Amino acid sequence: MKKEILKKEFKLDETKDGILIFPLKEFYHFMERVKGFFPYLSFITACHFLERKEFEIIYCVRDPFDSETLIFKTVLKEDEEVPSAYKFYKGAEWMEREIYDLFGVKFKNHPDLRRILLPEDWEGHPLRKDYEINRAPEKYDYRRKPVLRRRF
Amino acid sequence: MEEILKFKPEEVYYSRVLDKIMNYIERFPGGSVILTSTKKIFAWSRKSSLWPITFGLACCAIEMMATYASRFDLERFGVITRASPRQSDVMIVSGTVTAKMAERIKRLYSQMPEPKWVIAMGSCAISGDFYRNVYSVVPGVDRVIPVDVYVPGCPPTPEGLIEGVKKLQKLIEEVTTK
Repeated sequence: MKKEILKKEFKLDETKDGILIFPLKEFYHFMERVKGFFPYLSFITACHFLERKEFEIIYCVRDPFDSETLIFKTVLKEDEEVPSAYKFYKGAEWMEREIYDLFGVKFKNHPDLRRILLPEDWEGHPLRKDYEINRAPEKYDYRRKPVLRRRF
Repeated sequence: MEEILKFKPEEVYYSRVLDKIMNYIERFPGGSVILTSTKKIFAWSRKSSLWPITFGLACCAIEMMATYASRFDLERFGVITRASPRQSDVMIVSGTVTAKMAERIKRLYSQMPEPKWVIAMGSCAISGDFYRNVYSVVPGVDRVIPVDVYVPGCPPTPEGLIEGVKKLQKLIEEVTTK
């Protein structure tokens, strides 16, 4: 199995659910090997851990010819940057922009790191655990604006 | 029956149209002159050619499309979608309005010529519904543009939207002939 090969080659840990954890230092080397095995990137997502002050970036890649899926993740501190997977998978561009938009994780060597879903001048990153549930910048806070009525 | 058959088909058609707008006109006996007030004829023409701007925001748009399509057929009431805000006079806000979309809605609304009306379709457009406390959602489109008719439901049925359109027609008639 390709997963076992990768696991042996990089001496990786595995969670109970069968998800590989790879160190951030070996990102480029590891991604190159993964790209050789799994040519299709299914999704990238992230998770915030408030107490550990850490992010987990989760990648799901797929080999459409063998119908095989591999999920692997990496752990980084809140102030760390993660290298962009755009060099290996072109589809990673918008997914990484979405993670930057909602979590505030910065990607090194990303071609165009802007917000993708929220307005450009939005403050804060809403999917972080320390974000208040209905906080919005004053310009976009329509809760405080009055209800408009027709005169007739 | 025989009396009707004496007319030419065109005349039957015109007499039917005249019957429909009988409330608005006075006929001279035997003459071909019609007397009416401009207010009444404007109200009649405005309410029977409501042109909404073509756009949908969320799942309510699916129901709105079904209402335009052949089974329910809003075109019976003269409701034909237009692809440009410059040609349309109704805006059907169908779905959740997000803070980013609110500015676009405001711009589209200001591009529409007067007189213009707004239908808020579905509970999200009315009040935000259960997305009300989400950071990026506008709690009701009436905080962005003034709304004339609210159609409740999640989503409203096509019959519900049709009733909303009929209510709007009534409102237009009242406002214009006032």
